Amino acid sequence: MTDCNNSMAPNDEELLSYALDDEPLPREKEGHLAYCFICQQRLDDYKRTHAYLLTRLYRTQCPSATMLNYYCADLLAMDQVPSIESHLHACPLCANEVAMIRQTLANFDPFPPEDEASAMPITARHIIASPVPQRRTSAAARSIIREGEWSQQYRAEALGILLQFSYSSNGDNLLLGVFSNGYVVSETNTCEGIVVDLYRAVDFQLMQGLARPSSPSQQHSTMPLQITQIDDLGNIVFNAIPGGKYTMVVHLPDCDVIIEDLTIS
Amino acid sequence: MGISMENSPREMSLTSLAHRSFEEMSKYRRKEPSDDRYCLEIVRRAVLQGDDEAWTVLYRQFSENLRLWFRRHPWKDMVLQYEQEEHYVDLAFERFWKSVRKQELSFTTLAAAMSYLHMCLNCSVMDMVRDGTRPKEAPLPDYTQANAPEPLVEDLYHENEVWEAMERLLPNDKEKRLAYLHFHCNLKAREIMQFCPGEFGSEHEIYRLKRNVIDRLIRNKDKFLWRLGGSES
Ligand SMILES: [Zn+2]
Ligand SMILES: [Zn+2]
Repeated sequence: MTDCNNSMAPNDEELLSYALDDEPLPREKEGHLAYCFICQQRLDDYKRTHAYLLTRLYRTQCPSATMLNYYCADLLAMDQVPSIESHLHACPLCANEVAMIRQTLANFDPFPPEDEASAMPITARHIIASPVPQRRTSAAARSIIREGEWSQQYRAEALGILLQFSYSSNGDNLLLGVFSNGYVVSETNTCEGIVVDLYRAVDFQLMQGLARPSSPSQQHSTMPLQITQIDDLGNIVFNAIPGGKYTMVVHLPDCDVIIEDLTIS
Repeated sequence: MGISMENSPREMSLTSLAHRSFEEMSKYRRKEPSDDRYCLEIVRRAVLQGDDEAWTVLYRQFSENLRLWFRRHPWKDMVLQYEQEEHYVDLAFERFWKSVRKQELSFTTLAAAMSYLHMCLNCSVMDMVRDGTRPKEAPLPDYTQANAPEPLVEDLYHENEVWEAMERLLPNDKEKRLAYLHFHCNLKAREIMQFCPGEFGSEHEIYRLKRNVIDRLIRNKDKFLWRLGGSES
């Protein structure tokens, strides 16, 4: 590929992020691109190659929706399971679909109540968890808490939530959640199996205001960063979370509980 | 003589079946012991025997459930931008009809039949999301303009071959993985950092690898396209 020697020419990485991911170019480089035929050609090559490969490859290795549903319902033949599982390990899109299927299976009610609420937009059925005011931490307790670690209690109607952010011995971070019962989920009266999503705060806002994805990849920005399920002891764990602001969504059977303003340092 | 014909659902008229089925479903809804046979007989006649009137009864009995399931579906808002609720209900029924017929499934409980119908709804929603996010068809890249390769692969390519050809051209696992996440999953660099934590050091590394991948593919375009075409030897 011919390279442009102009000092204002965007480098390959800049051009790729501009062409494929809609990231902005520095102003002076954008100015250069506007008149430089060589750089325009390079941009065009990148765009065309990417678009061509994308249309030929997009999700071609993914199992069908039916296969993933069969997999989640344990209806697959034994010999089909390993290939699905190795695909799920590789493909974040299918992993996201499987999390959704498991969520619908866990919440499946053959005769859901015919209430008005179920017909309302999902946002109208959100409860924002309110933080429970904390007592001041003693100096002794503060000394064992590392910089950036925190713990906070929340309440959302009958559901009590304790979130603790800390670092493990190898330096990875860890967000632990403990869900206290009180919310009657089923006859067994536990929170087990309830799906909990961790979104980047910006993605969550994007999803809430999302009217219509303008690009194919915009949908992916509305996926949670991590998804888990409450275990039989009422606990969840998220780990190795990149720094930033987060929003947690707890998918109770009839509404979503939202926990805002989680800071991961 | 004392045995009522009504006890054998196979012998019953559709009207009586529909009536009994409705009663038993109401019991099931109230979590009281219920007899599934009437409802399952309607499913059998509607799907396996292709009885249109039985299908109408089946549709009437389950369409409300499907509507309520759809309204509680976590991806409901995402798919409502493409089609209305009724569309997904109809697709679920259609899928149910086709798969039960094709696989000659016979359900032993009402719960199993309803779970299967629910699964059909899930599939319809997922397929719509997959279709909606699929990139639009792009023409073959025209790298050199003057002697551009003929679009010979358009009708010949096989999806797996495209992937395999690309895999063979990429020398290491990291480039293969990146190509997979970019071209197969259509994830942007920022999204790769989010959804695959720990796999790549930074967005900068992702762009550097991606440049290598794209340059390599462009450099090897003849081999690559030949492999795609498969017939141009
Ligand atoms: Zn230039
Ligand atoms: Zn996949």
